[in-house]
Amino acid sequence: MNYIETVQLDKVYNDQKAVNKLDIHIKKGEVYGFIGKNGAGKTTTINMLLSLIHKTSGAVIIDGKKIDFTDVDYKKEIGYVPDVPIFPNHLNNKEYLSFTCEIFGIDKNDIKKKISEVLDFVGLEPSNKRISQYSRGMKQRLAIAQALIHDPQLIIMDEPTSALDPIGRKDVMDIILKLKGKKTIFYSTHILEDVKKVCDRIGLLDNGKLIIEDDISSIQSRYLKENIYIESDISGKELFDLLKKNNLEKNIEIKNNGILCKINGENNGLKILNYLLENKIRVRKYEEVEASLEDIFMEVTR
Amino acid sequence: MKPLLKYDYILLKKTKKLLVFPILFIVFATISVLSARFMNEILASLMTEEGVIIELPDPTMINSYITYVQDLFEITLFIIIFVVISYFITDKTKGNFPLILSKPIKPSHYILSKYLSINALIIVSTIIGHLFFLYYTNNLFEQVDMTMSLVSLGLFICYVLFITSVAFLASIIMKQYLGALIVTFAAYLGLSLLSTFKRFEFLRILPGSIPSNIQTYILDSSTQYIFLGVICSIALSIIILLISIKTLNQKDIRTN
Repeated sequence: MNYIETVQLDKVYNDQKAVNKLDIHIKKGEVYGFIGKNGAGKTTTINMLLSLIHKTSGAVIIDGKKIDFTDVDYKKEIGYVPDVPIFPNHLNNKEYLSFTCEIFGIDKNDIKKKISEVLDFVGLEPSNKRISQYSRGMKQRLAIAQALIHDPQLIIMDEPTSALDPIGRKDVMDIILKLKGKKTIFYSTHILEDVKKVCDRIGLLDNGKLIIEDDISSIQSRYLKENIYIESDISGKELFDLLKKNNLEKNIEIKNNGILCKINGENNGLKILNYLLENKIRVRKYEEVEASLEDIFMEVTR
Repeated sequence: MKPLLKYDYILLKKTKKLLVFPILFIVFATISVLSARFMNEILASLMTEEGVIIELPDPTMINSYITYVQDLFEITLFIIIFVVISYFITDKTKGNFPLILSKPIKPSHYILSKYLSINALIIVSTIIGHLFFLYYTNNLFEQVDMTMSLVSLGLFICYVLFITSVAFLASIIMKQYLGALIVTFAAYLGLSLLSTFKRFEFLRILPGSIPSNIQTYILDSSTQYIFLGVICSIALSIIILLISIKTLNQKDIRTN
């Protein structure tokens, strides 16, 4: 069952389509990686899911209910972690989380316990220190804490690690891993390494359009035969130069001591293999290479 | 709505507005009485230096009320407008909006909470300031008029409710503090200007006429336009608040 679904979702800014006929499907309980370059339309999509901006056309369906801009009840089951969380400067973490608890109607007697639990979960302590004095990483942890405190079904994360240092990034990734399997997580990012670590399925967005939507292993196997690695008696550079002389260098790059045939690699690879055999150049390796997410990303967004 | 009111109360407390506003009203109330009482001495001392001697009538309680109302509608109100716009627009300009409105909060509740919290503070501060005004007026002029006090207070509060609703709408429409400030002051000056056209009676019930209506009441106890003026100000405040809610609903909270 889909927990989030968009139907032909469009957002137009000044005659430019930021999101173009978007159909995404996020299943209940999965971690969905929403990936794309900067400016691909990820944040715009999230803003429409949260009714922070108006959609131009199309529909957003969450938990089977079509969402209207003025609806607020559906947000009771959503925790949102923005890319750059901005909190009221004068509050401390207890005050902000207490406010969040009250907004979500958490019983007064449970608030203190909830705050302590959720802060512990994200590795912070209840403190009287103003949030304005927090580091970027601490603010991001607090953003996760405020998104989790009401125990929502769905967590929407908008590039939560993009501005963090490696330690902060690892901490946030560990938190997401702890949540995996317990919540439906919509995780927007352009850091593919993070996607591989935590996501069950991905949706790849480019110029507002959804290019791919599937689980990572299916996508990788779909692109498996596209990449062929060939190694011969001569060096990769020599082989490349030779192919170039014979106009066979298209979609080929030098890799390690050989060459990598990209895009339609199977056909290209066979052509090159024939050429090498005809010219009596000994082939040492001829193998399919698993496409990395980076390769796929580069290829489909090229 | 209750959590929002509590949140706004904490913000007012933490930003020291809860303390600064009453102090501001106390200071200006006290200064008003003192300046009314000692204006003759001040003027006389200035004139004497230039060798001119003039006779001025002794100030009365009426002078105290008139000075107090003038100060309220000029200095104090200006400060209120500056602070109120900042209070309203900060969530937008500082970027707090997305995190707040990603929660199940209705824009109407958000607006009403902000509006009610700041106005509650202003009303309480006005009353505290007025108590100080009564105390000093009684001490220096040996009399006070409670009806005059109630009329002045009530009409000032009506005007505050109106001008803060304008400030709120301006904060929603305009992107920056300065823009909202200009729009609010333009509304303030425009309405004040309209009130000077005495030929059109209906203009006397608009909020811009409230200051002159109070002065008319203080000087000759005339209640003409007061009741209708109150109704008109409250009605306009409600209409402007409804427009604010509708405008917020139509706007994109976040733009990329």
